Amino acid sequence: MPTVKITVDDQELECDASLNLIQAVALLGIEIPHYCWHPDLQVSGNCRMCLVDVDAGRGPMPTIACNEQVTEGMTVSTKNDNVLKMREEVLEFLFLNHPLDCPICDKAGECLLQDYYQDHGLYESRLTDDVGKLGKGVKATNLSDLIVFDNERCILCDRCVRFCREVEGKEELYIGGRGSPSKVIMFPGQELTGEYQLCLTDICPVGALTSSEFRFRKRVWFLEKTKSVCGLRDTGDNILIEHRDGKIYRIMPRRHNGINGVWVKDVSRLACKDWQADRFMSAIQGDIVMENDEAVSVLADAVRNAAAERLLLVVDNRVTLEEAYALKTVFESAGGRRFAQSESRFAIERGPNGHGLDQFGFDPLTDDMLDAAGLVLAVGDFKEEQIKTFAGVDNLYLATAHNSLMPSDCKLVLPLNEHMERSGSFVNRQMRVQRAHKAFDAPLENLSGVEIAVGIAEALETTLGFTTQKEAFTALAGAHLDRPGMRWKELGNLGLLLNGEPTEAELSSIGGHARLTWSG
Amino acid sequence: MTTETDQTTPAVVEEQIAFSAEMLAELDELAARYPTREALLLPALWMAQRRWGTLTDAVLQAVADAVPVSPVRAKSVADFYTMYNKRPVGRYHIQVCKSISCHLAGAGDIITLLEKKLGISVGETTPDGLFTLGMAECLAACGSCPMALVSVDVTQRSLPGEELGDYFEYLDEAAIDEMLKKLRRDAWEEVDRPRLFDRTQTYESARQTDRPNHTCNFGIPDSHMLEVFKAHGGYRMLESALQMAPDALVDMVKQSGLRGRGGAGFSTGLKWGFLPKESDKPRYLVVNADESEPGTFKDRYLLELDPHRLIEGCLITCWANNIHDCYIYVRGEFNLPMTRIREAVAEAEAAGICGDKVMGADFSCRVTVHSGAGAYICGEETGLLESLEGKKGFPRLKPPFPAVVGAFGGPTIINNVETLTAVPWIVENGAEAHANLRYDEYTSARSPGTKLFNISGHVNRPGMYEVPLGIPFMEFLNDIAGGVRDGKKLKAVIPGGASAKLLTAAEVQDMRLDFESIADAGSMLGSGAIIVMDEDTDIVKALANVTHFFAHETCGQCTPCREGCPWAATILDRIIAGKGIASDLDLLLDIADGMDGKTICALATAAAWPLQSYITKFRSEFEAYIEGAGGEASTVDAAAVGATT
Repeated sequence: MPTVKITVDDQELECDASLNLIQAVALLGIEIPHYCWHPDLQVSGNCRMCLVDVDAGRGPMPTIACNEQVTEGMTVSTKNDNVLKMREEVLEFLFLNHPLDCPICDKAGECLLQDYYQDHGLYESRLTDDVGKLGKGVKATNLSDLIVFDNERCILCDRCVRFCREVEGKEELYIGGRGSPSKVIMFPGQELTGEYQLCLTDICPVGALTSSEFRFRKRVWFLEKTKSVCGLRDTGDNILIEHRDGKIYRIMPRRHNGINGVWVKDVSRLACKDWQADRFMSAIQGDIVMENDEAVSVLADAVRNAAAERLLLVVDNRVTLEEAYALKTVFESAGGRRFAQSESRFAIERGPNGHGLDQFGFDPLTDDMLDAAGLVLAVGDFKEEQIKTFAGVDNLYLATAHNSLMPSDCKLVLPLNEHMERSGSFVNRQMRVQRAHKAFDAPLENLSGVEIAVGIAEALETTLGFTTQKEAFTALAGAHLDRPGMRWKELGNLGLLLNGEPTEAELSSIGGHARLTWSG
Repeated sequence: MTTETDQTTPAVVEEQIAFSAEMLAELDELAARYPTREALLLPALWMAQRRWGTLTDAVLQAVADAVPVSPVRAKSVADFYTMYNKRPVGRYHIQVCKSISCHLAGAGDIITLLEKKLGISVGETTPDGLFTLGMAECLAACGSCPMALVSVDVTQRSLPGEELGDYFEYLDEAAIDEMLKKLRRDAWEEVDRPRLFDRTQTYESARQTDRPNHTCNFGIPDSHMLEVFKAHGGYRMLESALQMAPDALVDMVKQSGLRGRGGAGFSTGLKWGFLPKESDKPRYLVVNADESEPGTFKDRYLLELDPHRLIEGCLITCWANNIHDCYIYVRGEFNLPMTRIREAVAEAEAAGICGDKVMGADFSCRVTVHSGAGAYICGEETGLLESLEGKKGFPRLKPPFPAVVGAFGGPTIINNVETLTAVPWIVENGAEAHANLRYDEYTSARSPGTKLFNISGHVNRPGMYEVPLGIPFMEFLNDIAGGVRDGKKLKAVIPGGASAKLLTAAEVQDMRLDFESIADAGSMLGSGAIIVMDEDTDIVKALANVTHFFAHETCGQCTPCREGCPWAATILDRIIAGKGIASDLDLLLDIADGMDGKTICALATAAAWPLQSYITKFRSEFEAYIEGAGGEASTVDAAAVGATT
């Protein structure tokens, strides 16, 4: 890739010639404020917030940075008096028609209008007239079940229109009208039909488009953010779990240019509702509630006493690699040789780890396997059809995270933790190993698969060679990933492609606003 | 006692709103002229309006299905253009022009008169459904104003041909009475509709040069007809040009020094030269006949009186630049000019002048007339391209420039009507003759040729005059336009349309009418639209008028323009309402600064320049309003602002 040298605020910069000025100066840690530009959408150039002084050989000219590709010898001023004045002017224009309703606006705290006003505005108001407010209305309208539109907050940056057209491939939003009374419109009687609607709330730089799920539920500054991957699909979409006090408030996309860019489907973001509902929290044997330790030793005894060749381990496709590996290892130590996978009822496609289980020798579960089994340990939340096939199994032991859909005659049920309650690794459809971090503790003392395996091993007085999830990863990396000694941390934010090299695109995660490029 | 009879009410057949087979066939025929179906959106909206009158959501859905485009796009595009009726209007939709020349000629009084006589306010329809009263921004009849466009609901009352209405110029109380009386009994044809050349100007007076070019056929009976045009030498220059190498023609136009007549004054030959020699995509010539700059009404008469000269200019240009498709984008308010150019194209096609084998040569060139629908911004060349492609007229980011990526993604030349009608003359007389054509030796050498100047406002003989560039302004004003009206003193002049900076009487004393001289005086030649203000002119109200124009016409794409224009207009209204405050003037100048040069296209700059020049040059008049106010600022009733309907 050819490079060029430019001068930015008296600093020299050599950068890729394909970058625009916003991207280029970001390499120096300089942020050029912008509203309409988005790294994953086409340039529109309408907001004028990114005006900087550019001298490309003919003297300094006010130029929008988003549409200006770097050229050799270019001189850019991003903070001279003229530039600061232009920003202030644009902000003053935008605020003419923007309500000061931050106290009731869900975007507050991550609103670009708010942020840039703090950074570049802070002027005295000169507004004495009622400008343009007439006819804009203050009533929120629903664009679909998921998306609420507050027209009066809209700054007409056109991002949502471009998103629908360019990403969803649907022309459902448009800016209607002309001049000051313009507003984002849908055709009467229609509603949004896209699969990525919640992304509209991410890219809206202000609080004009909000999610009906998140609206009025939490101020964003109270949210803790945990890096994870999609717990529903096999795409391995990178997400942030945003939570507080053991509760998930929303799932946000996290940039991975090799996988999802900054877009994540609504189904993946709404799945967290299922994860938190109807939790199973204490071990039971028949009608007796028991401590986890006791329950694990009951399970270990059963494993010890069962005929080794008739042991069967079944996991669903949402378990982590570490859990699958640890359980498999402890079963092998007891002589077990049969390992199967089945679909989780909280998964679609191959689920977040179906591909990883393939890699570890977990075959699709069949009736024959069940018929031949003398003891079955089933770990996960299985589909109803699958649960029916468990009916004839003699010795069924289950670890599950949810109450509903439990097989009728289990010997023992252990409380399993959920996606956001444990750290671990997943393999997506590209055969990329990725990390998902634990966001918070399970509601009571739910166990991870690794904890169950380690507990069984202790009871069997055998050693697995690891006791934690991280150690389990290093062990499985040597055993199955051809990466002996690799530590979990080393997976990093890009993950590990098992059969290929990362592309240029995914290595570059240059973007615009921090929220959209967050990679921690 | 009555016996109950079996009354069967006739089933109400709800009319299925969908394009008929005939309409679809018409659309398909049109489709052959455009590289995309999307470009049919504006024509399809016109067809729908002819058929159903109002573009309701159901009609818009039918349009969207027919083109096809998404329905939300059909709605958004219909919303953008003022001529598409989103709400029902009366049989006669009277839209009084309120822009600066009409304002100076008393458009406000005309509106008041019409409100009184119709018994309705602006924006309303009479109870009998006969009249809707509205206001419009500049309709390009500045020499014959005050005036109104009357659009006819052709679903109720058909007009001959494709026309949808007409201009009613020289409005005064008597004319209004006659118009309303006759329209009340549907006698549309009987209403006297005087034109510029019938009333205040003779055809001969348009030729203020011994080498007339654009106006040489003016006054010849039926000058718009092919036979007449040919009898006066028409299309001979096309024949000559087809014998020349295309490059030689481009070079000739370059050497001639011809500069664009649309406003920017860029070298026409250079512009042509920017077109890549080779291109994978088809190349286009797009003619900008979206004449909307307040004060400008020249292209209208070129289309009405000499449409074949434009076609000849287009064909020569296409030959010179290896182009086979030409679109003439005419503003939607032009009824007669549109008819004339459409008929001329049809005549030329039938005569083998355009289409396959131009004049028998091995060169094909198709000419298509495309109607706008009411948006000043479509006069901006890339806004025009967007509109041509079936979108809202949002100007495009540059680069890429149209010469590289223009209409439908292909390299494109966009020229003004007047620029192209100059081309046959250059072919006839040679580059040198044109380069040397100027008023006298003091005229800038970079401003050759004759130019159509439109003069309006407070002058005795407003009108359209072809003069050699470089003529002294005062000579033009006094000798040709008859001087300031009623013997009043000259106060100020807008030399190049409402976008140009205002010049004081002192600043124009020694100014000549050429590009450089007007620039030296601190303004621009623009489209050659001179608006004269006499000593009694209220500069504050004039500025409010111009600023409202831009507030109405801003496309709304860029923040500073979308927000700045209406803000400035609101402040000016407040000052006029006697509620100005001392800080208002500096605030207005700051708003102008925030718009000037900060947006995608030049509209914001065009709105900033009047603010800057009027306030700076006549600050005391603004201060007088504010000092007289003495009160605190308060909000102004929006109804008093008088938004254009």
